Amino acid sequence: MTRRRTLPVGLPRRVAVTVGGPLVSVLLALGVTALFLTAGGYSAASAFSVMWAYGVQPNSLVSSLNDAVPLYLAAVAGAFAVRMGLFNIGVDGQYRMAALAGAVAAASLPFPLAVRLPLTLLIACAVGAGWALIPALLKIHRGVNEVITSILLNAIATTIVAVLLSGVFRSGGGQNTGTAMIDDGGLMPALPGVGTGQGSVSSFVVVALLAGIVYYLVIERSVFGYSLRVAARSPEAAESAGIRVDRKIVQAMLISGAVAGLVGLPHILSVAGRFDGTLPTDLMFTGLAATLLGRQHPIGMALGAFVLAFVERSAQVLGLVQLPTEVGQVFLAVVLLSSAVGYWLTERADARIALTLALRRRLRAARDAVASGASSTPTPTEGTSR
Amino acid sequence: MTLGSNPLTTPTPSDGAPARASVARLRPSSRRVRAALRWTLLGLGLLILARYLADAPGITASSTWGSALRLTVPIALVAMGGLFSERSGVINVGLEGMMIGGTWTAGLFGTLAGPWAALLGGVVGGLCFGVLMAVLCIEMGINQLIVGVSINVIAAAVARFMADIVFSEMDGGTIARSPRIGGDVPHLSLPVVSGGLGTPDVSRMMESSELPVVAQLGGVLGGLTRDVSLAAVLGLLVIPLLAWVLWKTPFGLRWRSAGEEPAALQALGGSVHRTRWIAVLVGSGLAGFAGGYLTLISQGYIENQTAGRGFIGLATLIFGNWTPSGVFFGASLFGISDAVGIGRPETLRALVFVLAVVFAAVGVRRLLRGTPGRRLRDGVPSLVLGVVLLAVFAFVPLPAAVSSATPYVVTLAVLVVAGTRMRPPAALGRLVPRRTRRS
Repeated sequence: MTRRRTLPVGLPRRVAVTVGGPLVSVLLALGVTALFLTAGGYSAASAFSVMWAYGVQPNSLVSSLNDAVPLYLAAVAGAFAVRMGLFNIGVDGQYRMAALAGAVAAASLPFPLAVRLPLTLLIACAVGAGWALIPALLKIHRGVNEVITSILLNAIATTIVAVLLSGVFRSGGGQNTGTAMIDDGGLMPALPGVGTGQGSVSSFVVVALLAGIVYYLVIERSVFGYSLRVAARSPEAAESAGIRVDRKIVQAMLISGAVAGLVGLPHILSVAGRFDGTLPTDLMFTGLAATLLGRQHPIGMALGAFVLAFVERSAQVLGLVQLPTEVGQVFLAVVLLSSAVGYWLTERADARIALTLALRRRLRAARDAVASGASSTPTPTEGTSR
Repeated sequence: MTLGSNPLTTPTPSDGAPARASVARLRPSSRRVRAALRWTLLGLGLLILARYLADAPGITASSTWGSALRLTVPIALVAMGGLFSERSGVINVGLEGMMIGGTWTAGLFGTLAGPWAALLGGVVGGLCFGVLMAVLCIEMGINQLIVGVSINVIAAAVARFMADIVFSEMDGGTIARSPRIGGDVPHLSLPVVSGGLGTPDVSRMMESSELPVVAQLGGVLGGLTRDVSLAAVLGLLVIPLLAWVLWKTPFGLRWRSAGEEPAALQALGGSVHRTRWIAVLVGSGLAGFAGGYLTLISQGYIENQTAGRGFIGLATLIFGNWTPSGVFFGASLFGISDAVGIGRPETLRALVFVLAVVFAAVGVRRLLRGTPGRRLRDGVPSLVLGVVLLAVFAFVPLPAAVSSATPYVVTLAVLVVAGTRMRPPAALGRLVPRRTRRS
């Protein structure tokens, strides 16, 4: 009798919930940022309009796209760990170690581009994975929380990178504080045919795309990804089903670290041309924001990464109009939190709507039943537990 | 450390009276005092041995131990803040952010009203983020790790933004630092031992006497007791106070049960939510106080002056197995290794020697007398680490550049050794929904 009505309710609401979460998050973050701007005595509306006008220029869009690539890679790296129920806060150290290794490899390997570039990426992946292996092994063998070891390892990575850079890999003497410059045979070529006069799109976009596809296939469409998710949800159930949780932890951290190893390379191979002090240090937290904003969905994270890169880029213009450029940072920070709050709000609203609809349906069914004089009347109060 | 093993075994009166912690198990026994004394003496002996083996006068110099104390206090405080919130079941990764908030408001209050106001300001700044965390984690039930990480990022961004608005306008302030805080809270020295109240400074005389053992004793003693900031004393007093509250008061019992078995607390008529609110707020206040203490040391808010101490506090908390005494031990270990790392390379070598001996001894002890069945598993890593460190001490010259990583490596090494003994509160991170309203 009621089957007729259950079909059309689902789809539009699901779409609304999927879109609503990030939308509410971004709006919330804009609101909070506006609050801060107003409190500081600035006009929020003019700031946002200046940012928007600057951000949608073709050059800015190209640069946002390039900036979004490392964020997306960091987001994917984080998502691999999150799907295993781990919190890889060591992406930071992993990408810096891997970026140094990648810069050295790209500058010194004596091969043509077609061999050197994949080798560079592989080496960076291996270094990132190796650095991520330490917390994984400590977790399964010594029972030490991976968050703590990762934090300590990030600090240790800072020292190691500094020592290696100043002691071993520094090219030339004097004021030079970077590794040797990478020649054209080692740099990532620009994507032909796309881009504007001043900026070109780096081929790392393709790498990011591949990482996203691999992430989707591995997590959603493979036995491995399934067992990973089972092990995260319920370790006991996984163990009794023959999944070795310890091994899953190590594998998830290895993959996460390998992807994290790529995070620093766009800057090395497309922007700076060597490893030096200009490597951004906040990629992990911004990438984490993209993970949360996109809810570990490959496309969602891509959109999240682009939005964040867009904001970061367009905030740069604020300095020209006597507004604090820190607005961009505040926005990024608030997005991190509001993405959690936004999803919470939409899910709650969704649950409320679902409850109301179910109730209404029950009531109507009951009324129908009474009207038609059926013998068994379903109780309408069944779903009112909340 | 066995105190925390099972806090809910004490029988609780069920007639509606407030729950009272049983004190039978907790009375300080003379055995424990003697053990503490023995370990202190052993440690001192080891230090003196290391000082002569590595030819490093720095390891027992009063300057090293003075800065060790100064570096210990903020970490111990922020770890205590974390302990407060995690014992009640709320994971607090946001300690760093709370500390940053503390440094900013401390800078503001300090420039306006002096050093004591700076400490108060620190608490206020921490509390702001504490309220945010409590609302999001306890009331809304959002993932506590996410909230903590966000608080760290938000605090850093907002502090910079607000510094641009507030401090840049002030005389002598920039976006990266507040104007100087005039004055400092009083500094104290112990009478007789280190020359407080106009008495002769015995420890300094001992240190300058250059007699073996006596000079080293004087150095350590003098460093720990001479010219200590009252803020540091206050901060250190928090630790025993907190231990008392945690283990011996009715609130402590509720506090622990909110983190171990919230359902039991609810069944006995306590409010998990109220307990967690109090715990998170007090914890954030302590973290902010640690920020205020840092501000006092540098005489003003400086951007990035926390330098990851909140994270180290978190590591210390886990390291200390969620007990006040363990946290204090961990924080002082970190403070000492930090102070040693600042010093000369041979001081670092001396520290390596001390650690090597301790790890090797722990390893041997576990191999011989550990829990049967896991002797190898427990003992071997520790022994291997000890032997490796001994080899480093004997053969590898340590470059000065690695010293900045000293505290992190030391903490990591100790975690590896202590690892498997950790037991976090059972309900850590578990959300307790508010009971639905009666209709």
